[in-house]
Amino acid sequence: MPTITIDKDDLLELIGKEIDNKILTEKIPMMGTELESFGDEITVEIFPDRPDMLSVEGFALALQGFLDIKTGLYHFKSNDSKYRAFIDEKVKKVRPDAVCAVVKDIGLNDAAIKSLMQVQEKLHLTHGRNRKRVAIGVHDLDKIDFPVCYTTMPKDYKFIPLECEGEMTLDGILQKHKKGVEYKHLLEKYEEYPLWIDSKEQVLSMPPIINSEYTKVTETTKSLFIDITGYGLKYLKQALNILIMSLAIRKGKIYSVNVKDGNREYRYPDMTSKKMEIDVDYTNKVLGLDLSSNEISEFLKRMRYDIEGKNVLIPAYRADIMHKIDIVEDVAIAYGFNNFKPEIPNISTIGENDPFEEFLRIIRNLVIGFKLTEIKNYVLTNGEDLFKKMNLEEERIAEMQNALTVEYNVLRNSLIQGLMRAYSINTHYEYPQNIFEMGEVFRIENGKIQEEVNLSVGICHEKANFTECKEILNSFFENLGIKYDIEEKERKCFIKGRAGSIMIDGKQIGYIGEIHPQILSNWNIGMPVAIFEINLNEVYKRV
Amino acid sequence: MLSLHEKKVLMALKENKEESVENTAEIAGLDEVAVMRAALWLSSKNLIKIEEKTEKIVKITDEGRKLSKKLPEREILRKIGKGIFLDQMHLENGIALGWLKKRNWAGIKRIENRNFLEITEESKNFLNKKTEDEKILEKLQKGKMSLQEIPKNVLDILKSRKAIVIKEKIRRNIILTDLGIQEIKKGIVLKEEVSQLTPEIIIKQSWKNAEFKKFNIRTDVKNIHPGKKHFVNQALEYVRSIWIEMGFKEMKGPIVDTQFWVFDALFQPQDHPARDMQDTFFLKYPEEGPLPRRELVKSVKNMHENGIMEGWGYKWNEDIAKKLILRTHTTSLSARTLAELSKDDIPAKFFSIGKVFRNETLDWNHLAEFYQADGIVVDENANFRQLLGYLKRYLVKMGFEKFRFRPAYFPYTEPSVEAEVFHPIKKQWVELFGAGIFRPEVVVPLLGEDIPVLAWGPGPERIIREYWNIVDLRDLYKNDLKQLRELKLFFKR
Repeated sequence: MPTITIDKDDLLELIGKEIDNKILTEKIPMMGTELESFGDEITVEIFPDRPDMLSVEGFALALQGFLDIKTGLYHFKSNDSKYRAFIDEKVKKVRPDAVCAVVKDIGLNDAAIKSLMQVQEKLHLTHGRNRKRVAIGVHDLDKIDFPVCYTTMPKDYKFIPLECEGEMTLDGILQKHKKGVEYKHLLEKYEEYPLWIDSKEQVLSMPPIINSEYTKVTETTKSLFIDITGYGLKYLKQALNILIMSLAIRKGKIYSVNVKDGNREYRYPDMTSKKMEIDVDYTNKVLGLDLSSNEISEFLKRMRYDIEGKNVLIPAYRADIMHKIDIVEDVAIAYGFNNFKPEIPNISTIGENDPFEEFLRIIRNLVIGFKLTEIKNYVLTNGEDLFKKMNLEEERIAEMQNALTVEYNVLRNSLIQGLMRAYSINTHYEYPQNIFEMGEVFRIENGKIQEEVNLSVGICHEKANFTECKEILNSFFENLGIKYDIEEKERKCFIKGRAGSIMIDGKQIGYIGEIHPQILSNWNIGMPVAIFEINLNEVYKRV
Repeated sequence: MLSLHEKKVLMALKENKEESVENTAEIAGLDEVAVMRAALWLSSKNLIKIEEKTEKIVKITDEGRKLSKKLPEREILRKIGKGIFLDQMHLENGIALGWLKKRNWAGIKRIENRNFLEITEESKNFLNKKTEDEKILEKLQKGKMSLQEIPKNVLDILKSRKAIVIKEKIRRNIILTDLGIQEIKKGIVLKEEVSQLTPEIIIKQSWKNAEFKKFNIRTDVKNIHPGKKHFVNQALEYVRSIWIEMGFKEMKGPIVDTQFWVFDALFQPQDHPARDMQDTFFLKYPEEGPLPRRELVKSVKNMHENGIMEGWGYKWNEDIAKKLILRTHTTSLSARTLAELSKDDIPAKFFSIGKVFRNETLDWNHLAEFYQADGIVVDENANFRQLLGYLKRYLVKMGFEKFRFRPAYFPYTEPSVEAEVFHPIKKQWVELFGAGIFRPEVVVPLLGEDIPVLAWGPGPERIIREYWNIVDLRDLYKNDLKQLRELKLFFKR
């Protein structure tokens, strides 16, 4: 999850009050943000549902309310203007949506510039799904001749990208520019690439890759043009509103831009609050509280909502309010998670283990009675261990598509390899080493995965042999009241003539044998090993 | 109480009050080791004293054995009769010649300008009689002698002929103390002593006339190991018991599952970062699994696209939902359980314990495979305070004293909460697990209506790690037999 860093002095200035460090460290985690580190610089983790707090200003706004310093909706004026933008039909097939706005008289100090860069970067990453869904461009307004147009241009079209010396073609940017290479997967498949161009055919930006050098923002920049492009107007508007809110808090003057998209015309930014009815009963029922409508209103104001009659007004920069339950959570946060009294209700339900799990517990207890030590391996393993080292024919098994390590790229279909692995790493400890494992195995049957639980028992010491292993098997089935048979059946990992299939009612449910010395060598084991493995789902059917 | 051997040793000393260990052994009819062991016990009881003396011992060498068989000067004496001209003698007899002269058994005489070796009268005495040194050698062949037993001149001869070596030996004498004498005076009754009780002794009841040998019960014994559950499983059993005690029923389900159950049914949009390739194991084979009943799929699709009041606003793709993955949480089981629940089953409480997966490179703090224990409460009257109630109970049972709940975010719960415990060493709050109330967008498609479902998903690994002080998470599953054999059992009050 994303983190942001905040200059503490800047934060306190934005909040407008001196606040004790102790209160800050106590309150920040209880507001729905996570305090990572605290000092002159504060690092907080912002949850993905609150992109508005990715800006220092948005965070300050929320904290100001949570600390009850200033509550209610944050109001600012959006001035009408003559700025116009067009969305060309051509771009609808490539990167269809765009919103924009103008901010004047910004007078940005260091902290504000840092915050603006930070919020852009973090919004790109999270809310913007790494620029795929939302990409933001910020430009020097005074360089731009309106109206501006969001369109596409052929790959050989040229302009000077930000921080570059000369012109590059659009294709050249994708192939050679650092940002182009990083994000080319978002554009590559299209014939033409999106561009913002002003009325004098100066390029503003090539979304979502890079801005132009021409409209670069410097220390002397007084006013900004903000463009946001991507998929899904909802997300674009949220991002724009977050930026606008942040810049307004920094005393920027907000001006609207008229955007013409086909036959429709929009005016951005749209800071209208959504309304939702306050449901007092629902809130109390979900939280287990008995709050009055007034109390709920007060708590919501602390979360920077406003109340209008029976309705709550939702700040336009909030991206997470999808249902009234989201309002309820904010009431809970304002009420304080600390202040809830935990209780266990008096409802009668019956506790019950899954019967197969109960069976496994009994099996485990039985096997321990044979003085065996239980081991536990990962279910993820590799073909080398499963087949090659065991001299077994490869079988179709469940395979991973994207495992980070080849050591763990398939699911095991039996357990004995895990026992062998355990023997191979414990050769320096005293013998006998009599061990067992119970765990999930994954077989393929008709192209589908069968998840089953197997038991494998291994004995290993100077005189370990088939007979001793069979003694355990015998006793195992005797204690379960099950009759079984052993049928001679060769398996390449066992010594010929000392291997067999374990049968119940004519069905093979496992195997037993003495491990072949070649296999022991493959695993660097210098002691005889005898092993059996059985399918416990099959045994379970018969108890 | 004296052991049989101790008694026998005391009895052996009865006459002389002091004996060497060898003699004592002979008198008592024990071997020397047994005598020494008994003597040590007796001396610890102040009944005897053990005195050590260093003694010089003479032992015969291989050369000595040869000489004893065949003394060279004697051989010559036998061969030459009255005498022999030296130039007729073999040269190798030089040593013997020297000894003939030394012993005054022969002398050299000039006859016709040649040297003649002539036998003396003295030698005749020894033709059929052994010399002193020969006698000693013979004796030494039977066993070692003390230095004092051998006359100085003989010793010199044997030493110069390398027929003997002299060694130092510690000689132990056992001396009765006054306390020992009194003990003997009290009278000692010798009884048979039982060491290992045998069936024969029991059946014949011969123990009645015997005494049980006293064991040194504090002596070290060999290490043995019990059959034992894996320690992780021990802890998981405890976790299970916590939920069972609170009336929860177990739910089970597949490890390899479709994205539908792991993500879609939990209202996680298909472009959500948590569904990213990086975190999740996708299956190459088999690639897809079955989707549940049609109306549930439709309902989930509708929820993603339109929500109840507002959805995610994208086009939900069924093909993505079919893809198989290794479940990233056991909350998939909660979704499956809710989908099967009928109205009559409610109120209901469920838990699950199972493996979950993260596609991560293993290191001390990260595993690709670990456990999660999910719980849900489905009840018309369930609320947030009750959620905290269940969590509190779990934390208390897990032995945490200082904990707190703070706001959190999970895509499928609202409100969401993180349980944190105060780490006494790090002096800070550490996250333990997440919980919350399922969003209506999750519950409505699964249950058909919005009934509160409390949910949580603690991973027990952190608790296991702390209980056994395991720093490296990989040590949980390394199968080191020493660790498995010796780790203490899991027990919490």
